[in-house]
Order: sequence, then structure tokens, then C-alpha cells
Amino acid sequence: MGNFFASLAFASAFVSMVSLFLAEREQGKEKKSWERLGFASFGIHALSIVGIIGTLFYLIYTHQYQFHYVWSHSSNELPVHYMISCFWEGQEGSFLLWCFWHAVLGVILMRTVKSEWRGLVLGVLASIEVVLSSMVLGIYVGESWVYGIYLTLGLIPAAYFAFRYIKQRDQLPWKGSFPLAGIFVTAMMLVLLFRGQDGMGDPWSWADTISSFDGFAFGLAIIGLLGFAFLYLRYAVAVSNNISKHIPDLLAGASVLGIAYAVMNFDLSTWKVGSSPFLLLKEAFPDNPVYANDPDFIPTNGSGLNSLLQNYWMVIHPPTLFLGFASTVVPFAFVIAGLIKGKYREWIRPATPWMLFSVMILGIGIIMGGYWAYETLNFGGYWNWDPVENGSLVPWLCGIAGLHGMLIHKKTKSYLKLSMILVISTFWLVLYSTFLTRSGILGDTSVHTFTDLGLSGQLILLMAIYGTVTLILMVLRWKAIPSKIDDSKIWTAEFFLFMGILIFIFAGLIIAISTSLPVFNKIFGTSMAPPAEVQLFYYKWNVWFAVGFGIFSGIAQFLWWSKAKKKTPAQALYRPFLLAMLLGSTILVLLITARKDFAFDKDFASLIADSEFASNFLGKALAYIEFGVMSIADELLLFSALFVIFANGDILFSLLKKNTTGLKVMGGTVTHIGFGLMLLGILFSSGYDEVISINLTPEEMQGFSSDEEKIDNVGILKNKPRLIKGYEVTYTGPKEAVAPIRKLHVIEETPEFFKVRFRDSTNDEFGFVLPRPVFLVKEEGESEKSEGDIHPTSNASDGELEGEIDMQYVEDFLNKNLPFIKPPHINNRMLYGLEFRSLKDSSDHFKLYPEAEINEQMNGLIAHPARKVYLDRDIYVHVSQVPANEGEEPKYKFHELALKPGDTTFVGNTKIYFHNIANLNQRAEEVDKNFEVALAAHLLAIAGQDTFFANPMYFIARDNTFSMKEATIEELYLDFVFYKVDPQKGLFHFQIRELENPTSDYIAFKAIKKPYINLLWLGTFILTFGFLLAIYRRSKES
Amino acid sequence: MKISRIILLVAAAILMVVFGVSLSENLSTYSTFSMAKESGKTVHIAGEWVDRENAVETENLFQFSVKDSLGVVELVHFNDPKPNNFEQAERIVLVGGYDKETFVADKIITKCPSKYGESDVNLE
Repeated sequence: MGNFFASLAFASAFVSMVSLFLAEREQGKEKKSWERLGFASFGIHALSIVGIIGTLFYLIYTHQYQFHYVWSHSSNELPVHYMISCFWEGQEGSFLLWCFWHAVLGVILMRTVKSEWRGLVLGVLASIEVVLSSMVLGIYVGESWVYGIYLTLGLIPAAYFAFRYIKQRDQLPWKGSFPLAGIFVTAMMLVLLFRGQDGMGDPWSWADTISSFDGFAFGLAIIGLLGFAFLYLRYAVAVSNNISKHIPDLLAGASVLGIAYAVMNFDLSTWKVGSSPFLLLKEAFPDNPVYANDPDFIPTNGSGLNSLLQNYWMVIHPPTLFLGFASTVVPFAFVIAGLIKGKYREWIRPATPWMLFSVMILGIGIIMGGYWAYETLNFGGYWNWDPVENGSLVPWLCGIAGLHGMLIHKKTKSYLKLSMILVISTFWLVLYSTFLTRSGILGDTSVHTFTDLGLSGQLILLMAIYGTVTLILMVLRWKAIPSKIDDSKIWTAEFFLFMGILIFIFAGLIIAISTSLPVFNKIFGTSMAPPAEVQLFYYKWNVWFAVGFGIFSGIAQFLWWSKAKKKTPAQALYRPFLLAMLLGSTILVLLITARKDFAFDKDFASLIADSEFASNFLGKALAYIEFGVMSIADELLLFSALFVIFANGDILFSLLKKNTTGLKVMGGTVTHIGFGLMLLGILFSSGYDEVISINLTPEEMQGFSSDEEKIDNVGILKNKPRLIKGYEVTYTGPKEAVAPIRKLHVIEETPEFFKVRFRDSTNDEFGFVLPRPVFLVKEEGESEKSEGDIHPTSNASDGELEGEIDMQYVEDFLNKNLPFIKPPHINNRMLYGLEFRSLKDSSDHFKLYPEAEINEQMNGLIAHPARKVYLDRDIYVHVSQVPANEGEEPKYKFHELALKPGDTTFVGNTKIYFHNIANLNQRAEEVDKNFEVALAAHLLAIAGQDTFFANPMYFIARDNTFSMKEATIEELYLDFVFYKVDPQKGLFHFQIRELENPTSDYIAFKAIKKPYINLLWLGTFILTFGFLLAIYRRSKES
Repeated sequence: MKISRIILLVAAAILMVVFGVSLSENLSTYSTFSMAKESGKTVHIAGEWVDRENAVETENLFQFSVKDSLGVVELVHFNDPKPNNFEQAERIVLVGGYDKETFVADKIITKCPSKYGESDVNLE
């Protein structure tokens, strides 16, 4: 079913692509009919994508663990909303998501784009869908039936090409090359024949290939391929002045070349196209011993979703990000369509709102990812310069640059080529970043672990195809693209916009190059490692781009709007400039008086120390210059961020005064204000964050005097307060993340078993399988009272399994046994209560519950932070160590006490108050019947602000045996034993056991103060709002 | 070509050169303990966790032994608790350098065996 949809999606995308491109060659009626075919098959494609997704989700929802994808990403315990996120945990799912967005965008485009553009734009989209949907095909190219399709696909364009050749032989300048083409085809067939039969070693290894027995055919193929490539290039040159007619020829040629290359390089019988999410578990692990015993084995539970992804942001972040990725294709498609049609300027207008949309969504997606990391991971921040994050940031930077290029072009008609290149690169970079993250090439540099599903070859092919095809198009059209040198003077908006574009390009380039180091390593066999101080490295580059952005965009925006008002730049700009200077220096003075170093200053000090090691003079000089320059970087950033806010705020204000037009055009200004706020938020929260979990408890300060030691984590015992920077912290003990069950219902019943789902109080949902006979409603006359947890099942032995399930009993059972039946990764989830009291302001206290789990799959501590959000700062806390499961032997200290009622004494720091004695004989007749003496002591233990009760008891039975009942105050590790009564002296004797090594109540935590992080989130909202305004305006325009 | 454009291009070229030099200065290399000791620089060292029983763990220190690719075993200080996945890691990458005689790791990257890679995965 799913596989059927997958094939259908692939095929229909293919048909759609071909017919839409063919339509472009025709006119009038002919064109209409081709287009109709193309649109219809795109519709089918969209439907089948929905079909695949529906099928896969159904399988996940119904826990069909015979499927590999379901088994590896889901489990019985997973709540429904996380089932959605396990849908895209795997690569196949994320490709599906991408396909899905393309399909949605395609359908929207079909309805909104003017007919002039519709066909080609959709055609480009369809062509990408062909490749993307092949990613989930999961078929072996060597399988015989696929072989047929494959040959047809390869031969149709070849035949078409040959046909064109024969028909137009005389008009074309490449007569006489036919024999070469003949050799090529023969060679290809030979290779196909041989290759289909043997499964040779490494398909990537040329040496292997050549030494094998079909080396001869391979050689022929090479000659043929070269000949064909030569032919093709000549043809391309020959037709370059009238290209739109020959596009299909060129595409056909390119596809023959591509396929031929593939044929020669890959061992077809093992080369797999895509990776199907509908692969059976058995197919994935055919050698697993389980299948030897039981060929029909189906696991009863899946291996579960990575617990880091069990967060609600993971439900909405990937779709947003992928929508961002997917939507970059729309402007790209417009550019390509413009190039093919020869309408070089006209594509910009309809593409602008899409570009805005794409950049907006991508930006939101990136920030969401950051927010997720901030909330779930414990690396202490929202941005880590991890290759994965960079991979989405670079296309965004490029997209921003492209967007501004398009905007300048609208105004001045220059920078057209630049905008085209940027739009194309944005799309290509999305492909590239997908390749980086999915191919496993990042290996040692990323903390994320990736596995290669064998899709990297396909991804490289995809990048190569779109790289070369667009490159060829651009080169061929280069002369035809109108270009106008920008002759604007320096003090114009355009100039500063251009500077802004340059900044974004450089930022993107620098991040892209640094992130791509593993790729260079792979290609050149080098072993370069990324800079050791990654954060610092990226910071010191990008801070300048941020500064540049602030200044340029402030000026550019001002000039853009002030031209109309005929003000000189100086007149227009002095106000925001002064304001920014004023506020900036005020903040600086405040920081200096508060003696806050900028966080990276220390790093630079060590950098200068390290510069001794710089290997050459240039390096040394650079290090010194860097040190000098960097020490003012953050001040400049502060100023420029303020400047952009004030400058844009000023414009916004004056725009709003003319409220009729103002509202419509203020998108840009609002967006820039948002971005400025984000920069401020980033500067403060990352640059001035501060680890506050430094143990300042006076009696424990010895030994921690050395300043150089990095002591970011504080160990804390339960109920023993610790002083840290600014707060007194008390650990109040662990609390299980799971509590009694709710919403119990049966989801599946078989004669032997039934499956229930239920929620706990934290609203996590679980599933559990129970043996059915045990939980049937008992019929009348059966013994009601049975000890133990399990009902007697008198009928089970007769094979009688009819009857109703006793839900009340199931619920009781589950409640009682919840801690034991919870799956391990949920079982070990604990919340650790930490109470913070501000040392400055006694009314400022709060309690945080950072979560941590001992994850068995990952065999380690996974800590999820908790935050206290103030308006101007976050206190960010995560647990860094929790009690180990295997504790040492408990050690006790014994205290013997003889007390009278009303006495007070101390055990350690705990005050013990002996209140009185209760005579239990008077309380209940039953007690009196059995015991001569039955006494309960009422004791109070007062520790700090908390009071606890303990009631140890003392009995003498009628037969004169005596017994005791201990009382325990867990919170204080105290056991109370009431063991003797001395009636003469009126003394009661107690033994108090104090646990001396309560290891199980020791945790370590780390707390970080992040000032003004809310500015970042606020800025994001404003940015998004600005984008929305701009999209509204631009889509009206188009 | 206007002068301003030429200036821009030159500025861009200089920027890229500076970046190139800066990158190459900042790049660390995959290396070994002995190389790290010699150079005194911050390096990446890939290795294997050995002598597991004698590792020291507190809330601010994790001290353990690592064998690098040349077989040299060195005691490593890490000023944070033991990272996740550490037990499972088949290979670890240390980012750090020598502070006098001790190797101090600033960062540890653990490489775990792929979850689904092997065919002998336990299905139960």
C-alpha cells in the first residue's frame, strides 16, 4: 500500500515534469493539453504523498512493529502527539515531510500563479519532486523489473535525442559525431549486461571496477561517454542563442549523461534508490536469530523515540523548518522559469512574496530549533554553532541576501544577476545542508550522530544535477541577462543595501566554509579539525557582520525613506545616532560599574597568551590586532543594534503619522527593528551570561580558593541549603515524573491479551499489554476475596476466555504497579526540586523542577533544564549528576535518648521535641484485647523551617512478648525506635538512627543566568510580524 | 567600474584572505598526546577509554585514561561531570590541550555505535 503510493508519487511527478516541460515548447491548444496533463499528474502526486504519509502514520498509530521504521522510532508508551514527532525522526520521514510541503506549495502555486508562469514553475517543482520522492522508494536498481523501468527511462531521452539528431541533421553543426554516439550506446548496453549479473565490491572504487572482468566494457563506456559529452557540449554551444526551443534536448542529453555515469559507477544489483519507510523489520535484519526460530516474529514493542525529541517543540519545529526549506524552491523555480523563458526581470515580482515567506518560515524554524535546544538540551544555550544548525543558517543568510538583491533590483534595475545567483544558491544550499546532515560525513565534528542510509550518493547526484543544470542555464543566458551597472552614489539606500548583501554573503560563506571542513577532509584526504574554540571562532567573525548589519541597515532604511522627504543624510540620521550613543554608553557605564566583564574578554586574554604559538609572523601580528580590535567589538555591536532599532523606530514613527500609506509599507522597518532586538538579546544572553552555581557556602569554601579552576556545578544534599551567587538553594528531593493514571481505555483485544492506554497526571500517555484471563469480571459465586494481585482464573484452564474485562480492577492494578510497569525510559524520569531564595530580595523565591532521566538506551544521564523566567533574565538550571543506582552500604549514627514528655533535644542540627504519649489501649478494643501495653510516642522533628512528625510505637502483648514499630522521617534520614519505658523515672527511651551517607539524596546542578534573553524572543515575534506585513504588501503587488 | 566598486572588491578580497589565515591559525588538528605536548596547542585527539575502573568522578571533575591512536595512555582531566553515553562510546574525541603536565579536555565528543546498524540487534 505505502510502497504503491511511493511508486505512484514518483511516477506521477515524473510524468508531470516531462509534460510541463514539453508544454513549454508548444503553443495554443497543444500547450493547454500538455499543461493539463502536467497539472493533473501533479495532483495525483500530491495525493499519493498524502497517501504515503497517511499509511505510515496509520502504521505508527496502530503499533505495527513488523515494520522497521515503526519499530525503530516508536513504542507502545508513546503519546499520540509524540507519534507525530517520531514520524519525522527518521530520514525517510523527513524526506516525506519535505515532499509533502512541496506538494502543498505546488497545489497553492497551481491556484495562485498566473498562467504565464504556472507551467514552468510547477515543472521545476515537479522535477525536484521526482528526485525527492525517489528517496523513499527503497528499491534495488538491480531488481529485474526495476531494470526495465530504468532502461526505458534512460533510453527514451536517448532515443529522443537520436530522433532529433536524424531529423535536423543538416541544420546542425555537429554532423559526423553520430558514430561516437553509436559507440556510446553500445558500450552502455554492454556495461548494463555485465553489471546486472555480478555483485562486485565497492561501487565507489574505480580500482575495483577496472580490474574486474568487465574492464573492457567499462573502457568502451568511458570512450562512449566522453564522445557523448563532447557531442552534447557542441550541441549546447550551437543552440545557445535560441535556447528555449532546445531545453528538452539539453535536459534529455543531461539525463543521458547522468544516467550513464550512474550506470558505470554503481554496482546496480546492490545500488538502492531511496530508503523505504515501509521496509519490514525482517527485511532489515534478515540474519537475526529470532527469525530462525519464528519466521513470523513480530516484536511487541518498539525501541522508542529518542527522549530528547519527546518535547512539544519537536512536534512543530521540524515541519516549520522543512516548510522553510521546501519554500526556497519557489523563488528558485521562478528564476529557472525566467531563465528558460528569457523573461529575466519579470520573475522578480511574483517571486518576491514567496522569497519573503520562505525566509520568514526558515527563520522561525531556526529560532524554534534554538528554543527547543534551550529548553531540552543541557548545553546551556540556544545556539551551539553545530553543523546542523549552521546548515540551516547558511541558506537563510543567503536567502536574506537574495531578498535584498531582489528589492534593490525593483528600484534600480541593477543587481539582477546577483539576485538570481543568490536565489539559486539558497536552494542549492538547502540541498547541500541536507547532504551534510544526512550523509554521516560530519562524523567527528558534530555532537549529533547520523547514520548514512545510503542516500548520500543520491543526494550528491541531486546536488550535481541542479548545480550543473542551473550553471549551464546561467552560463548560456549570461549575455542575454540585462545588466545595468549600479552607478548610484555612496550616500544612497542602494549602496548600503548592497553592502548589507555583501555582509550576509560573507557571513554565509564563512560559516559554510568552516562547517564544510569534513567535506574537504573527505575530498582531499586531509585531517583538519574545526577550531577548538568553536563558539569564539564564530563569534569573532560574525560579531562584525552583526555590527555591519546594524549600521548599514539603519542607514539604508533611512536613506530609502528619506529620499522622498529630501533630507540630507546627516539631518536624517543624527537623531537615532545620538540616541544609540547615549543609551549605549549608559549601558556600558552601568556594566562597568557593575564590574561585568564581557564574557569573551577572558578568552581573548588567553588567546593572546597562546599567540606565542602562532607559527608565523603574520599569525602573530593577526593575533595582536585581533585582540585589540575584538575588545571593542561587543561595544560596537551594542551600539549598532541600538542604532538600527532607533533608526527604524524613527522611520516607523514618521510612517505611522501618514497613516494611510504608512501601515502598508512599514513591513521592512518592523522587520529590521525585530532583528535589532534579536541581536541585543543574543548579545546580552550569550555575551553576558553567568554561571551562578558556584558554591559559596562559607564552611565549604576551603580548597576551592583557586580562581582558575572551573567549578560550574554545585553538589547539594537534600535539605541542606547551599549558597550560590545571589541565591540560597535547597534541594527538596526527587519527585517522580509520573503519578496515578487517568483516561484508561482498552485499545486492542485478543483472546489472550489486551492492550490499554492511559495517561498519568503529567499527561504523558502510556500503553501496556495485559494477559486477558486474569482481568475478567468474576462471575457470581466465585470467591471474592483472593490475596495477591491476581484474580483466580478458574475458567482459563478450560480455554474459556469469554467475558468482560474488569476495568476497575485493571485500574487498581495499574495504579499499584505503575512504578514497575513503566517503561525504563519513563521509569527513570525524575524531577528534582530545587528551591531558590534570592539573597537580596526575600520576596523573590521560586522552585524549579529540572528533570533528569537515566536513559537505558543511551546509558547516561539526560538532563532537561528548567527555567525561571523573569522579564529581564532567565535563570537556567539543569541537573548534572544524580544519585547512582547502586549506592554503597548505608552507614548509621545511633543516638540514645531518654525523654520526658515536653523535653527538647538535638540530633545533629535537627531539633527533637517529645510531645506526649498516646495510650492505644484506650483507643480501640481490638488493641486492648491483644496487648497488655500499647503506646505511641508523638515526636516532632524540626529542621530549618520544616516540621515533621514521627510516631514510633511500643507494645507488650498479653503473652508478655514485646514488640516495636519504628517510625521514619525520610526527609531527614531519621529512624525512630521506641524501645523502653521506665515508669519509675517517667522516662521513655528512644533510639534514633541517623543515616550518615544519604547518597541517594545527593545531586549536582548547574545554574546559569541569561540576561535579556526575552529580547531575542520578542525580536523574533516582531521580525515575523514585519515579514507578514511585507508579504501582504508584496503579494498584493504581484 | 567606479572607484567605490574597486575598493569594495579589494576589501572583499582582503577579508577573505584574512579569514583564510585566521581559519588556518585557528584550526586544530586530529592528533596524538605526544604531538599535543610538543605544540602546546589545543587539539582534537581521538582515542579509546581505558582503565575504566580507576576513573574518578565528582560533580566538577571527571578524570579518566585515554589511549590515543599511537597507543599512548594519558590521564585526562575534564572539569565537568561524566558526559552522557560515555560508557557506550566506542571512540571518544577529546578537544583540549596540555596545561603544564596534565591534559585538560575542554570538550568531549562521544561516538556511539549506530543504534540500528548491526544485524544482531536485539529485537525483544
